Amino acid sequence: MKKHPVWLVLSVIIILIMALVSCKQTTTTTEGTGTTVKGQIIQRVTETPPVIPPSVETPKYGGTFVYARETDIQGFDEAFTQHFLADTLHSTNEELLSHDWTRGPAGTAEFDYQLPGINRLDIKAGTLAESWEIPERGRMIFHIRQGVSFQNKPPVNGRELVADDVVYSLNRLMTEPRSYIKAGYPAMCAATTVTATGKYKVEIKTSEAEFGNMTSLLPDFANIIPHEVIETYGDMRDWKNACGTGPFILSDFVAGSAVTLTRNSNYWRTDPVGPGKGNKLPYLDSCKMLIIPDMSARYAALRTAKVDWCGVTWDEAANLRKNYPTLKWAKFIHDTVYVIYMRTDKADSPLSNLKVRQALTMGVDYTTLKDVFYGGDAQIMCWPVVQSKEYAGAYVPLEQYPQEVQDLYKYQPEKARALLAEAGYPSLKLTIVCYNTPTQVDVLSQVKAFWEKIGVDLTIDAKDYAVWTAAMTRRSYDQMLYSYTSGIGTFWKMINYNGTSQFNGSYVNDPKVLEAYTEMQKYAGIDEKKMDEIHRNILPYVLSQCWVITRTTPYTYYFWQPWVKNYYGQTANGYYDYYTAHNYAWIDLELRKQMIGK
Amino acid sequence: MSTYIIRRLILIIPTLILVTIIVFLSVRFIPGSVIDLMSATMPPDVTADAEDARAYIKNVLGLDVPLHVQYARWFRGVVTGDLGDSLWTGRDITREILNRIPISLELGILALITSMIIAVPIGVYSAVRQDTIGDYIGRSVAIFCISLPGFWLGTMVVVFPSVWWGWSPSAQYIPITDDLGGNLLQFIIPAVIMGMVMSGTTMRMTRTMMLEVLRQDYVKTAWAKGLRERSVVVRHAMKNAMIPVVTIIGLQVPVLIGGSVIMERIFNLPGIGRLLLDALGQRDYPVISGVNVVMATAVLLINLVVDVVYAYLDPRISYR
Amino acid sequence: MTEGARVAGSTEISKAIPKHYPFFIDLLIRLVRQKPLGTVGGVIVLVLFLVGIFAPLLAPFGFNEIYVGGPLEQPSLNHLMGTDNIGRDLFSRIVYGARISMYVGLGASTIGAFLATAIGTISGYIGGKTDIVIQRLVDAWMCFPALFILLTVMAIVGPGLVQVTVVLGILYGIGSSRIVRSTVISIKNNTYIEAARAIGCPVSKTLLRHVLPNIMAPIIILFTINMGAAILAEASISFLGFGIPPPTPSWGGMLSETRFMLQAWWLAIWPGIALSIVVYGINMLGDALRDLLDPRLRGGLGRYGGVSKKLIKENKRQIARATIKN
Repeated sequence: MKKHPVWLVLSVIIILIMALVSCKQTTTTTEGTGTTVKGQIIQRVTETPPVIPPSVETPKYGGTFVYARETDIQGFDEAFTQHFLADTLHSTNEELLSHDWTRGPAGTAEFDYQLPGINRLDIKAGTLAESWEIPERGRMIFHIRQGVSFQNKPPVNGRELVADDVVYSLNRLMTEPRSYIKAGYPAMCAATTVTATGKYKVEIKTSEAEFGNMTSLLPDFANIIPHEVIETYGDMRDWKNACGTGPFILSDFVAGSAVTLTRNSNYWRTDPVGPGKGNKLPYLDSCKMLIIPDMSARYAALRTAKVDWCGVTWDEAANLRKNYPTLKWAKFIHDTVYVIYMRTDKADSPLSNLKVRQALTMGVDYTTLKDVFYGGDAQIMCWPVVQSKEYAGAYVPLEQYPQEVQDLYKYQPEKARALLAEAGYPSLKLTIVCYNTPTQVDVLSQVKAFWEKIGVDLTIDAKDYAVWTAAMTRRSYDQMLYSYTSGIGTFWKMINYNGTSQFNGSYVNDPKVLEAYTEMQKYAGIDEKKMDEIHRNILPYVLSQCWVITRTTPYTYYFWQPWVKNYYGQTANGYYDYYTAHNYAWIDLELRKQMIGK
Repeated sequence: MSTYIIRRLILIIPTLILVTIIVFLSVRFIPGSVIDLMSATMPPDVTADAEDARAYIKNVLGLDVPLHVQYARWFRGVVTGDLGDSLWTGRDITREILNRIPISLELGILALITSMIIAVPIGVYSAVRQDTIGDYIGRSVAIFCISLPGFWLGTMVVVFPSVWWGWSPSAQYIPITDDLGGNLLQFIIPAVIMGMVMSGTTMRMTRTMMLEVLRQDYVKTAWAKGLRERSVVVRHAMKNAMIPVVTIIGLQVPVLIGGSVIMERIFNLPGIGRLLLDALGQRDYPVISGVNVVMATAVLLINLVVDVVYAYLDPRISYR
Repeated sequence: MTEGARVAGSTEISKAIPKHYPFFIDLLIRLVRQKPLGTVGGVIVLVLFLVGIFAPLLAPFGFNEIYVGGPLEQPSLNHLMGTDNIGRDLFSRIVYGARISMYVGLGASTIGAFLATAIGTISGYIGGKTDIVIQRLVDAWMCFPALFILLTVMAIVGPGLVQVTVVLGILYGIGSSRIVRSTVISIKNNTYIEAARAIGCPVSKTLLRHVLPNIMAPIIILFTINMGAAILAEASISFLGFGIPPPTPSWGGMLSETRFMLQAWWLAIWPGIALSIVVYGINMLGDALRDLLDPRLRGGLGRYGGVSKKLIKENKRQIARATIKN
């Protein structure tokens, strides 16, 4: 056996690999630009969302409602797990206030409660509080509902709710170190006192500056729990100890697999509107949440009727609407919207130059993104707030903006190129940090192709989830970041373009904005309509500054089986109270038997 | 024999300690700390509050002490069987892992059985009929099985039947105690896919072992005596060829445990693989460390068992 | 026997002695002659390499050229395998994916081969304390299921093509070092090694000139096995999102986007078929190579006391030819 051929072969292989390494570099740039779409465009079904009329059938009792959800339940105690991650809390416990069901789709249809982050006192109704007053800015008085009992399980054993419970719960959430309220809003917690001024009367006192924050967090965010559970077990982190006044009792939990809730026969609420008015709630015998992290498995379960409700992306929705016409659906634009943030604070960076930002905005073909990529199933104007019934006053549709602002959102590559040259950047190199999923990279690939036509070379730096999240929370990216905005409930803090939170990713520090912000805070918690007006007035200026590049946001869909009644596509029945559709819904068991035989 | 076992057990200990150090350190090197992830869901309005929030989180999670102190604390827990609490859910990790191991174990055992059923007959047949059409077909089929990406098959099985036949795999995990039939039905598809993918290595090993054994003198003697083929193959060759197959099972164990990650994700089974995957995404350090330590220990112990069984079956080995 | 006949007989005899070809050419000839399936596998691997190297020439479009067709277009003459959701030509992406797979496969198995040889040879040849220490380290490494190590390390180093290749290479290198070590140990006790040591040959020279050429067989086998395993492993972790990030067209990554598969079956089928065929070819080749190179399998085959039907026929024919000529 000769050795020489061995080395020969090995060296050939190594040279090959070297050659490939150098070849590799050239393949990462896009070759050519194909932004004029060739070939046929698949027309997808797009029309305005159907109006689901209020139910006219008489509700019946019984049945199990099955949700499909993507993530595991992270915890059961609000002092340790945040409100948005402890989803079962919204079925087992309640807050002082929540959305007014009678003004929703089941009643007057003024609102549709599709956004999770709705936080306006003028649409709320009392839940554990029967009514409330705001005598002056800085004080709020709640009259606790009488005759509400906790769930009948030890150690609480179904006793009546009193003001002391409210005081205990709110104080606990303002003092426990891992509580979201305490850790995120320490100034508010320090300035607030909660006291019981009667067996069924609670008074909350806080400073004027923190009043807005307080009204966001304490009435419709903090859940009321019985103190016996904490005294006996130390905390409510074990699911077996979960107890509250809510319509369902947590009866089983298999981590990573499923949650089961059964009816609380002690529940105080009766159906407030519709043919079932006056009936004792809830209608359902039980509710199940199946944890299915894989998206195609979730959709498969929906198609084969193994689950009753599922959140669906726009592309699968088109498919379902075509092939499964019996399924009911609703769509809306979700209020956490993805945008391209830019470092506008670095003086030497091209992104601090307004002309550059405007050119970048004009260089994106929003109509192609909307009509071709999303099949028409998207909206262009989604930042800083989305369109919704509840916040109609704070939103301005594109057609109502002054012409200069409307022109920014027209695709004008020649003008963009000229503007860039004017600003002194005939060619530009930019880098954007994003998360390495195809959803994000696909959008950015298209933006990259658009910008090539105006002389901008964009490099897509796809990172893994935790690194991208870290870049977002610390705002520690170099030039551009693809990330999401804050929910609409915080619109009065102008948090997406003011302040130092992660949602002001573009480092905006504008005196005009600050002026409007100061004005806005005077009305926080007392006059929502005035805040809407202030917001509407500042929007044209905000958009003209092009602090972020929006993408067209596709609709989010909910699909549910036709035998689920008295559900109209809501996301929540309170501020970030996810998974509460089943509180008022009922299952038509006969219809289901007819359709799938069981 | 017993000295062999004791010697092996003693040798495991330094390996185990090395394993815990590797696991602990490597996890800390993962960029993107859990503190950033947690503060992503908190809205610190003012920078000062952001730092406070971070400090709170750090303190509560026990991450504000130096690294070797953290390691010592954790190691003490590991030795007593307490792997700590998850950073995100606060649940006891040991209990989580113990709850999930039976699922991964069941999947693994079913996959192993499937792979044996496929691999051993084909391997023996291929060896006995070497270089004939039967051998070619058998080997092609076996190699085809291991060339199919398991995750591709799994995704196909979940996506397409739901459209064609209105069937999808069970959306919820059915424990074996609740419904044996349903449970087996739920596990059989991912187990078969995993088994198919694993059968290639076993088939090759079986074939190689059989080929080697068939060249031995005692087999040639059997042929010369004029014994029937089945007698030679089954009574003389196979028994001796199967001994190393025990080693193969031991080698497959890490593959089993690792391979189940993808199947558990696609078929929605709450096993150990899923736990690790979720923990990695969320940077849940104690969970990552805990799962890795448990798995490594299991592999070491199973290897020891396999070696002992091998030594028992083949007396030439035990006194090395 | 006449003078002429003797000359003829000796020519026949000299013709009957086979020529000695260099190692690799001999291997190739034996492969093509005796192992048809292995040859098929070899051809597939060759095609993979050619497609990978000449990808820019073969692919009609770039791999990230959006909207060269409508989104989710069916396969047609223009787009042989259809387009994906942003109008990229799937055929071009598969072709560039071949380049990625080739890179990962070759890179990981080369790194693995070097590492395994280095560790196995040093550990096996030197023996003693070094051996024990190295073996404990290897043991500790081998405890972890491969996917666990991969996922954890990929989380540390971040996603990327080079990272995946190097990590896989190290993984296979350490894993394969055991086999190399056992081969080195079995060679160590041969007389020619003793002789080399006796004449004062330095260790490095012994390793290079005597040990290395004799362990080429298992190294080649490991190389081919690891190549197939590397390609599948990269596809698996790209599927899980830890491997090569989009828009780089890794076949496994292309299969992770299950959202559009129901509407566009071509997105689900072609990358999977490409992966299966390539890994199949590599495995067949590896199998055939092992059959040819494994010294334990030389000298006789299965039935009939050790000779296959074909060889018997060959023998008979050769003997007949020789006797007839005489």
